[in-house]
Amino acid sequence: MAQTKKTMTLNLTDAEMEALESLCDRKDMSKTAVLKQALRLYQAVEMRLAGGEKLFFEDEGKRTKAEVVML
Amino acid sequence: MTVYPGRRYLVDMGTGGLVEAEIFDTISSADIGDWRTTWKPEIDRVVEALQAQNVPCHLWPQSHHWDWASKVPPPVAIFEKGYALRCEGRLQGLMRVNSVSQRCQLPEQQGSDCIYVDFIETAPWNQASYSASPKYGLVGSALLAAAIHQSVDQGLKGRLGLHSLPQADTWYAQRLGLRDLGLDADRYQGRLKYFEATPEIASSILNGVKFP
Repeated sequence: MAQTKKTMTLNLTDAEMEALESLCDRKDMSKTAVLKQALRLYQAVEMRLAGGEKLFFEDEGKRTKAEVVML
Repeated sequence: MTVYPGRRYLVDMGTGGLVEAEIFDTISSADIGDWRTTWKPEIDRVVEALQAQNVPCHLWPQSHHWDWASKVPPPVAIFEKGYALRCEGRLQGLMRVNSVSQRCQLPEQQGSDCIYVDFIETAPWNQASYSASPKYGLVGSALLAAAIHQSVDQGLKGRLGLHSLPQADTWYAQRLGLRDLGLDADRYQGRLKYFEATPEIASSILNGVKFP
């Protein structure tokens, strides 16, 4: 039994499309796959933040660690 | 809940015959109930026997402490998915995968996304470490194939990664042909090896090349 899917139209600026295409090249993924993956990542981050966890970027070489504050 | 359309046959290790099995892309409360009433007592029984025989802990089945009740993905999560494999009315295998927790490390696909297998386990009566005569074979392979299908479905081309318990290293490397990247210093206190599948390896697994 296949899952029901819904279609949406997405309007992107040139810069946004360029960013998307760059990610597609870098990740070896289609535009649809990148956008769906971005949604999964966004949900994962939001759910963990909602559970009280924090998100950090760390650079071991520079010994820096910064919290990413999600809006 | 959907019935996974991939490989759905196990090998009855007693007769050598194929037995039909179903893979579900969710772990239901009934699965957890079965885990509690069928898997866990068997695991506890074997561990108690090993303790009584003073067998060192490192020789016990290394997944014996896994609590599947705490590993079920949240129902709304789209980044994490659970799988259950059932055969002849019994729960035979469980797996949880994550779509966003691992980037590929092999040089030819470094930085690309992959499906990460968080946990995968077959019922104790199917494992040689619990049973002298395992009941079904190919449970783990069928679940891994489901994870690869998910990778393909999500546009990740079959790329897959996992950290292996040491007792399973040989199975991943030799049976499935995953690439061994050695002990991963960044995860699990550097105690576990990291294995990865390229699209080509994933394809060979799906085609059953490495299966008997």
